Amino acid sequence: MKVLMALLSSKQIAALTLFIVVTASVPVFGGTYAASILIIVLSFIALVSAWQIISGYAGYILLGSAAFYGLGMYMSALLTPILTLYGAIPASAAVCFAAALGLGVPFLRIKGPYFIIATLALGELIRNIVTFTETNYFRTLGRITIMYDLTTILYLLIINAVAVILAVYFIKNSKFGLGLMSIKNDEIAAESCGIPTTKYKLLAFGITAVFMGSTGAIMASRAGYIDPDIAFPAYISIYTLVMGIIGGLGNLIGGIVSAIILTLLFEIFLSMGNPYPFGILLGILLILSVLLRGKRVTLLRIFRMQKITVQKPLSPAK
Amino acid sequence: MTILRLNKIDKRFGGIKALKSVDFEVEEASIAGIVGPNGAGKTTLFNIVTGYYKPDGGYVIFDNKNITGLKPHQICKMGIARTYQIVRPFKDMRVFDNIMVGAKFGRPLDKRNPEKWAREVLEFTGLINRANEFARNLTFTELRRFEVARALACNPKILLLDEVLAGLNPAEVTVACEMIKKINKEFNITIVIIEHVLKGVWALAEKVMVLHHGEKIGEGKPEEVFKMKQVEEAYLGTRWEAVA
Ligand SMILES: Nc1ncnc2c1ncn2[C@@H]1O[C@H](COP(=O)(O)OP(=O)(O)O)[C@@H](O)[C@H]1O
Ligand SMILES: [Mg+2]
Repeated sequence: MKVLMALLSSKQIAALTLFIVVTASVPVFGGTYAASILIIVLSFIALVSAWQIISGYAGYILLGSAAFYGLGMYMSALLTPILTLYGAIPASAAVCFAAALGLGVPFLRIKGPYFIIATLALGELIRNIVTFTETNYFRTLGRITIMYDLTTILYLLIINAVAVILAVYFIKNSKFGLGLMSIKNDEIAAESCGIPTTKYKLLAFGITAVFMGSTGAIMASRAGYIDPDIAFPAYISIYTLVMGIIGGLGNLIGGIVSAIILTLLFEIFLSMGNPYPFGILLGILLILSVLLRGKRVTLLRIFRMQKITVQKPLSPAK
Repeated sequence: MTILRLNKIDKRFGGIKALKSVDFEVEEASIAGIVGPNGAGKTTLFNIVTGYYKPDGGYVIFDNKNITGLKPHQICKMGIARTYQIVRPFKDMRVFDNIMVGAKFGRPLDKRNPEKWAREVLEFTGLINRANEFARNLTFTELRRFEVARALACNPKILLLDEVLAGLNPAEVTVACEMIKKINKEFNITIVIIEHVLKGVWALAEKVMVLHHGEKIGEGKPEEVFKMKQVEEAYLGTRWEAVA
């Protein structure tokens, strides 16, 4: 706590406390329906914040979040009976970290749009590997998971979200973050300035996977039953990317705000019985944010283009 | 003492022999020049010294260590920094942060404070009043100085400059040459400078190597080298070609 006080401004601590208090009191005052929506919001906050590390900072746009989310779910389904959910979360996250390091070696050599496409394939690849293993060796497609009650899941997701937000914030302001942003700007120049680019990219990918995995691990105990289609849905990959891009590459707050707004919008459309206009809206928002980004125009103030700066600016008169 | 020694460096790109058994030695604390027409293999030589390319033959000794096959970031940390002929700023980062990258990731600064060092570098290169600017907003001339500044921030023992004078007007060339000399004298940094025009290194280098089609065709003091017949031919073509 003391360390946090030293590293965060009082405004940031206040914002974080408010976030925790508001989210934690939802099941008390808002009932089950509000809590179940908040669970989705919190999942996406964690996913999009984790996404910022490899995509927003290092510049490798990931369209395969479902790969680690689903892997986390499956690991949790396997490990919760042995370790309880509290042991299964870190264990699943560790598996995702290892998987990201292994997959990162070939994938992070791919640059630009090809990386995006490759990661889309990555989600599908892992989904198919799981389907294959399950049907051939376990003679099953789905798995029953041990369910935890709504409030426990919610509190775990709050802790998870706060952990990701803090991790991303500290990475952004660290030497590691400076290295990642240099890689995003110019990988060759970054390497020749002494940045171990391969190691940094792998580590960034690994940390992203850790938090996507932990989110999936918690959500497994919410689902009750998982199969490859539930664990690796394409919409997880797409929404995470869209939220990250609309919120602003490398813009932690922007990503969180767009996760909240878009999830709520989706729920509103869903409750009206017709979620399809939401897809159209998402498409328009995405196109707008990409088009406007090129012109460095602001979409909404909160969604403004993140100016990448790491050090506090110099005071000019000195 | 020799700080950098290239021994029989070969490099092929497909069918092209970009470098053919090139030997080169650089004395510590000196300024050395590499000249040659476009496509001679000068940049390729820097890419080999800094670890971007593995040579097909030969090796590179720096500070009495064989650095052939090391990664570029390892070589930077050991004390070799470079600039790029086509500048490569971190465009969406502030100039100050760009320089901080060098100060934090380059050769360790010992007990010096990286921020103080970055400031010192910016003052030295005359970019201090642009510190808060995004690197993409720098002018052409500023970017040239900026490249030198970021490399200098890496705290190198040896600085490789790739055509930093190209495109500058005569007044700017004079200023840049003064700056390079000062880096050499005041910071005690060995310098290797590439130019494709001979007169670029005339005033600076104590020793020059001339490359042509990947081969070393001359080496020595500038005034000696430029009198060599084969060097003249490389630039003007053979007498027969010149007449034709
Ligand atoms: N990555 C590469 N792939 C293929 N050919 C290359 C590559 N880099 C350089 N070359 C070739 O090697 C030769 C030397 O290039 P370079 O070292 O850039 O010349 P200089 O810097 O002296 O103008 C040229 O013929 C160039 O086309
Ligand atoms: Mg060149």
